[in-house]
Amino acid sequence: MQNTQALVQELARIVGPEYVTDDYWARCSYSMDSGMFELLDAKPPAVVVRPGSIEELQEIVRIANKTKTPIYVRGGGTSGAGTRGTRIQESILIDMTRLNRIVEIDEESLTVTAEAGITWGRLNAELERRGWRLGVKGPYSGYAACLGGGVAYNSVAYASTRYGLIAEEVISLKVILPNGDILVTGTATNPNAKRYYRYANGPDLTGLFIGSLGVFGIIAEVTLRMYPKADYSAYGAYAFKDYQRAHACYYDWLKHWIAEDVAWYFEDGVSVMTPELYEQGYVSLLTYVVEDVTEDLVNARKKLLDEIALRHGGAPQSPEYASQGWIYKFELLPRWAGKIGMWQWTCHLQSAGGTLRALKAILGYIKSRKREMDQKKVYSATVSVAERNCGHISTSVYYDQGNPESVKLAIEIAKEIARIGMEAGGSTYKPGELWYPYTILRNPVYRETLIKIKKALDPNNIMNPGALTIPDKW
Amino acid sequence: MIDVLEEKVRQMVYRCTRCGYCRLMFRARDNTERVCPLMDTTSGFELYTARGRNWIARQIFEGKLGIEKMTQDAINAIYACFICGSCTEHCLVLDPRSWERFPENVYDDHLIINDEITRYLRSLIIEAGKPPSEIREILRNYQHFNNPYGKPREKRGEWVNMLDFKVKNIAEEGGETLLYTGSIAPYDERAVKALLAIAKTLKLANVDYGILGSQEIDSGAEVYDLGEFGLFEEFAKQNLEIFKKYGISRIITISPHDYNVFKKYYPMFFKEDWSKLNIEVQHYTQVIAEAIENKKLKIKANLSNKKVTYHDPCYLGRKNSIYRDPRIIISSTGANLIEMKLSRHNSYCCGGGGGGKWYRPPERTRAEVERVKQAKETGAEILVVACPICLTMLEDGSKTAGVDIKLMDVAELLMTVIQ
Repeated sequence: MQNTQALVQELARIVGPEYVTDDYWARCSYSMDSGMFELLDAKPPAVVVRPGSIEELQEIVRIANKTKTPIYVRGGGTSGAGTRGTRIQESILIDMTRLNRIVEIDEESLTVTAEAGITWGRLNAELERRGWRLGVKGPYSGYAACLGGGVAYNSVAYASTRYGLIAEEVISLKVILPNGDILVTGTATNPNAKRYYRYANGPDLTGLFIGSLGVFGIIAEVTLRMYPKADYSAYGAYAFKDYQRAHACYYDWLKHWIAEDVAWYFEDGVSVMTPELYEQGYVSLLTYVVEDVTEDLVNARKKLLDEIALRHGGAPQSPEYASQGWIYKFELLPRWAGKIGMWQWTCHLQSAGGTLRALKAILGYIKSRKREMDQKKVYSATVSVAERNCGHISTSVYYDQGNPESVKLAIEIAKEIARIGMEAGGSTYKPGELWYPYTILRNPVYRETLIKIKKALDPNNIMNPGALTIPDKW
Repeated sequence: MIDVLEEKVRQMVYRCTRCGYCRLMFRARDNTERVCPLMDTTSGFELYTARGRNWIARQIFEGKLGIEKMTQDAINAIYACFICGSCTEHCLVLDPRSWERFPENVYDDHLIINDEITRYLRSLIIEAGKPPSEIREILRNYQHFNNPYGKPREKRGEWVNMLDFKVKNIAEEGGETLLYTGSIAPYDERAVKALLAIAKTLKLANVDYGILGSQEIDSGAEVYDLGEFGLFEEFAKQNLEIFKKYGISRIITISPHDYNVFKKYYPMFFKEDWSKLNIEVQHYTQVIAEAIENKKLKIKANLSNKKVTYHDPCYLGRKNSIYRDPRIIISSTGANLIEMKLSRHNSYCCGGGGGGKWYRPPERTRAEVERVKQAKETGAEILVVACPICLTMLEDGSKTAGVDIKLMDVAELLMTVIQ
């Protein structure tokens, strides 16, 4: 890395002096995100810069590459899984939030293209104003989480039950490669073509950047599918007294692939939302959401989901259990945090049929640690949100941030849940420190292949060095 | 006092989930498009918004950052905040007891009051003797002259000489209802005109009020915002004594800032000393709206050809949920009220709160300029306000931006139709 002052001057020339800072306190204010892992070793970057255009971003990357200065990219700063590599201090942190324009709502291609720093909340709102909607709506932190982060992190999203992870709705990416070149993927590989399909003109390079945590390049623009705005919706909720029946219903709902959202709350999770159900002997609550462009379509889907639930012995509950989370999407987590503390995710995928097996192991583990957790103000809430053909388990571990003992135990519990989930056949979609010991680090061929690609694309190892277990120095 | 606040702030910073909604939220369901005005007016680095400042406060609590080493950029950022409360309003870390009200929560339902964290950081800067020179000067004026302008105390009551009726001085003639003018309205050339309209309207509504004139003491609202807690405490204690001495049972404030501090902070810090005085606090818009509803004012609602828009002052609307009363007054004139997109709890700050009237770090644009542009977009010819700071700020903003829109206090608008 070159001298900081010289770097600041060069960056100021690109973005204007007001959008670059090396002030220590300003940098310190960037030494966090929503996760607990960053807190253990929070280090501020050397410089923070807020580019306002793709061209500025491109120039910043060129300078970083020339001076071999590591780059960390930040959108909404809502990551919760320890994704910022090894947090090298002599680095440039790029705050992407000025890159927040909608580039094109392309009705011809049924796609929307936006800059990576737009929030999911805004993208949804702007599309709906124009009579369109996204398939996946964005992650649970979507009022601050940005589009690029959702892709680089391969996040789950509202409506993942129907549309899959964010990855599955991505049509094309515009990526700034480590040498500053711009790569456009999908149909737009043909300069005359619009961005309307992902798998075209050769291998799927889009996929290389999804879930990459930005180690191969910076995602600058994202093209997603869009659908006509859904004006009709319906909600349902059913309580179950045993896991087997709940799982059978969950599996059938998932198999028919007709709900936008299917969520399965467990006894510890239920206690977050509905203590009265637990008191009546219910251990699971299943909810669904459907939305569509006509009332008939919604009613037909609702009818089938209700029939399935009743067939499996579900006790109908107020649809509000489902509607509250959907209508006020992106608003639940902070509310829960106000009630029970800061959260740490342990979300991962399981096969649809195998979800119950893993759940039992995780819930059993939580029960075995319950007394200690209560003592140290650590709480859990387990929910399984179906994702297309997959099950999914997320135990949120809530803890008291002001109590080091609570933080320590929460980390231990989260790590153990990750281990149990992975050993039960799980797989993580969003990368992060919690998962590496059971995934990338256990698969040398996969890891070496990642490193080879990284070396080819980023010989100076400037992009988020250390992330994905790729060495921070060659 | 500082101990009480310090403990509250400590709890708040550890409740922050760092979700960043205070910085970036765009929410369709209630037209939230911009939470923090500093994202428009400054460089928008984290330190300028609540999440960044909360993180800094936490690091100070944990001994990782020392206030004595705080940089000028950081001081600028912390004093850039207008304390408009929008970040608090949009924070979703809510007191679970208030969940039943969701999504119609009020300001005090929030477990993290970001304003307090900013004030606390400012208090540390003051304690370390490092405030920006402009702030230092304002505080000196408050200390020596009891107003931010550094004008003589005696002038505080001179505005009544411009009225064509007599207003009693409670200190000399007694009286229980105090028209509390605050430290902006009596001294500012533009704001005093609004004050005169308010005084006339109250008189026509048969409100039996008086003033304290040169004996009125600043409420401490602004010095509290600036982090000068010692001076706030001094002013507040003097006010408690004066209110007690003259048997004040009702205060009608001109400024929403004074309303806010009497309503929230006197009870919080002075508990029984305040509560035993049993003082009813109202903003003048509440009193006038009540008079209109009780038909105590003769109004000819003939402004139907006028398009007006209303700017909700942060300290009146967002922080105290007084949205209805100013609108009752506007509606009584017959004027065609067109709401701005950012109104009510989403109101965009005029840029004058939290010391913003006196001090601004280097900016890209000014909040008051942005706000008058938003007002003009409605097609309104009159921008109505209910706060002396907003009035002066937005009037300046319209001149700076060259936006042709007339600024009026809500009482001034009403006076045009009172018979």
